[in-house]
Amino acid sequence: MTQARNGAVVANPAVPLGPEPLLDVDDVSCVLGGVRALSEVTMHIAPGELVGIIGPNGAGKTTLFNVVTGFVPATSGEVRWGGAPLRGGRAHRVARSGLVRTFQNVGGFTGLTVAENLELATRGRDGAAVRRVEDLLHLADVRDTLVEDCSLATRKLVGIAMALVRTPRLLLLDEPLAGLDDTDRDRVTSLIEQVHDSGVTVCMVEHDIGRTLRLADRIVVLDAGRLVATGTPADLARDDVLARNYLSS
Amino acid sequence: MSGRRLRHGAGVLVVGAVLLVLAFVVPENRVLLLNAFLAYGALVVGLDLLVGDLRMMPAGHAAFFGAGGYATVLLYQKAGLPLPVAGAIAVLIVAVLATLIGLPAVGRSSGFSFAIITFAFGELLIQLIANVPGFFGGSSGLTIDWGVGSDMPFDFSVYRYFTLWLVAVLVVVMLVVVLVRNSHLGLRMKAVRADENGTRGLGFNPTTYKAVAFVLASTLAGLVGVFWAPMNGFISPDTLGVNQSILLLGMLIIGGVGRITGALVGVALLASLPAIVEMDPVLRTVLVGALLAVVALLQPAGIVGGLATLWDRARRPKAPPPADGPVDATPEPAGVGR
Repeated sequence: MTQARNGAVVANPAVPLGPEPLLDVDDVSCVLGGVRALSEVTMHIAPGELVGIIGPNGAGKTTLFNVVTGFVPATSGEVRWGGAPLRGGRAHRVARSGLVRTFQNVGGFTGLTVAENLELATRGRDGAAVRRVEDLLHLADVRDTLVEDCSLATRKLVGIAMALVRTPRLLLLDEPLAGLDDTDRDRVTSLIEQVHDSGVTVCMVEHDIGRTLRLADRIVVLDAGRLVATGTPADLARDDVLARNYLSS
Repeated sequence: MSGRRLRHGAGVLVVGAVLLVLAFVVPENRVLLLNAFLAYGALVVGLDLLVGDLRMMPAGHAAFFGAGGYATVLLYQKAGLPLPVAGAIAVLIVAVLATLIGLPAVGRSSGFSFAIITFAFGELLIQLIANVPGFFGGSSGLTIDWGVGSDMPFDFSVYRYFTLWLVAVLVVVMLVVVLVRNSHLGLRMKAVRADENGTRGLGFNPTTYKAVAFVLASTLAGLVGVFWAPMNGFISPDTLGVNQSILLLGMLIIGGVGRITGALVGVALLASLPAIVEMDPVLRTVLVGALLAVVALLQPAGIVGGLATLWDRARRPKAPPPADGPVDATPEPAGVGR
């Protein structure tokens, strides 16, 4: 474990290893309304990884997602997607390139049924994918129900389903377990595992540390907009300070 | 979706057939009243593409109606074009105007700013007409001979002849709205209404759908003007004013947004009923204001929207409970958080 240039503890400084990274975040800073939400954050995601981003409220986790997906411009630094820079990329164009995200707020568009939401996500072109994902997520029974009439867990699943039917190259999940009870958390966790096992690269922001540590190949810790540490869950757990401050639920 | 499209399309054709029968049987002294219902109906149903489907509130919708009318009159009387050709070109002119206004208006603004920009466009047209009286007729307006000859089918009066055209216009507008609402475009518009950032996350640019709806609704308003001006025999800047635009919004909001029946009920209540009971125009303005206040306070979905909600509640099947019981949760606001 070594000390990075900006003070971050990097459990595995050689990351990314192996294949060319899918996503590179290099020295990215972001100032929102005078507040430095991200400060010189550098991270990489390699194909096939499941990366968990953790940190306290206000750490900049969702801001990082917003910058990467083009919803918020970086003040400085560079984001590269598949090796090509995303300079001021507009969110809808980034989304079309296979970098697919879910939002903190519950999934699906109100006023539409579950089936209509999935049809929307595939642009009405891939009925087979919709049926496959409906089966995978056990959504077939509620396909004709308006999303606002579904339980929170179902709506979370709808949000993930809408991302999955678009066959993402990288799936960014923003607090997929928030607001769920233990049983639903287990359901969604197992689903994320299945999705990852099917070959989709996943990066998730999550406050449920225990489940994130169990799921993730690698953990990124953010605090006050800064990268604090990155490494495998086992590597991070060996650091007492990190374990005490960030890895306990 | 195709089944619903067919059902709604068939409903439109039934309404069209009823209106066609009315065109033949309505007494001569009520023909103008029917024409006003048809024209306002087409305007308000088209406007609902913006208000009902996208929650956009244009304060200058009547300007496009007036622009269609003025363009038709000018092309017919000043350029000497046959009325059908003048009307077709007028619709194109309105479409171009709507594109020029719509792209910056929906692309760089929303909500209040959008209302102000569309209001400003209407006022700009009024000033243009008032200050170039030699060409546009000034504030006293332009008169137009009907341009349809004297040989009317079925021995109709000219007004009743135009009733047939206005029925056709209303049916066309309703069919366009049904087709849009039951298409993938309509689905995307509903998604934009629910959560713009969410649609960006799916790879759709919400501005595109707002611009398409704006140009479509405005062009349909222009189409109504193309038939209204020759039928009325007169057009003046009052036709384009903000009062007209607010009246159109009032009809829609009171009747109920997002439903063709809501738009038509609003028109019947605020355009036809006051004329039938020969209500004083001042009293009609008071009625619009009072009804708007009551609907906004008690039933924001409008009269038909409120009835439909009650009906839906009564017949909608309950969502099957999750295996482990329902989860109580308060959804977070839409959009991107930190």
